[in-house]
Amino acid sequence: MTRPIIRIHNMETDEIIDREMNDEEFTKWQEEQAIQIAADEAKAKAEADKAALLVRLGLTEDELKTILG
Amino acid sequence: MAVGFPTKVTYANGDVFSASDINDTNGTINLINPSAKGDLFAGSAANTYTKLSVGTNGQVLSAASGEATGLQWVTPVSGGMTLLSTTSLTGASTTVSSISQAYTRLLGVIHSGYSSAGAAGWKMTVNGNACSSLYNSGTTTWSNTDSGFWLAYSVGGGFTGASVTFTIDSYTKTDSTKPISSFGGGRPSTVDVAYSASGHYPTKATAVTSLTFAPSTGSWNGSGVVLLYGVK
Repeated sequence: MTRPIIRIHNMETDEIIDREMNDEEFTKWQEEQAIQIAADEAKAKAEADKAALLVRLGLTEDELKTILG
Repeated sequence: MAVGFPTKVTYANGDVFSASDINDTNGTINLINPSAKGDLFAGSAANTYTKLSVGTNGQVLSAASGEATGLQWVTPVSGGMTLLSTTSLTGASTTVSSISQAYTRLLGVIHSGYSSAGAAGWKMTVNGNACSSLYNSGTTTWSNTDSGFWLAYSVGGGFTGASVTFTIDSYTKTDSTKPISSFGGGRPSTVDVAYSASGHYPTKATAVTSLTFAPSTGSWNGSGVVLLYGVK
């Protein structure tokens, strides 16, 4: 399996290198991807829960802001 | 010192030049020998050259019609913005390295940015390290220290086709944190998303020398560009 490509643009020399991630970069990238996917799902769930709660309460987001204001 | 060149003469086959012709009495190559480092000879009138001495360090040559030579050494006005690099965003991440340290702040623009796999946002890593972000997308605000500064974010994913502008102040300082801010917008799904964020790169002792741009998940699709400007 090929690893993700990364690009490095050296501003001093204007040299551009495109290469596969090395072992360390790939391990770190995989860890961060897993964390990010979980975080995105948690945020999306929180948003969905909030929207569902507002529906149950019969409130709009603006009305909720007014109450909490 | 005005140095005149001989009036143009039409020579004929067989003409012979003497030493005095070549050394000339009315200004020839001998007379325009520079007398000091940096001397320039500029035309001050038709067939007339005038020596222009070099300016001081850092000055630049500028057109000046009021001067005898039409030129003048001037000190550049400080300030302004210089485009330092233009880099296409590709792969899982794109890094701009060896950033010039000659400016006060950096201003970056990402345009036509698209990331695959419906990435929720775009992150910027400074010198390969984490940054804190207080970021706001739509009606929600988050705060964290993460693996990168959140340049853009849209809950539910798909922050693509967007433009983002960001600044990093005091990026050359080695005794203070570096404030970062960004703002932008896009249309990730069926609604427009406005986005703003502020935060900082917390490492005081290190100047900012590289920036890495990456979608939070997946890869860039190759159509985006990051422009990096140095601001005095």
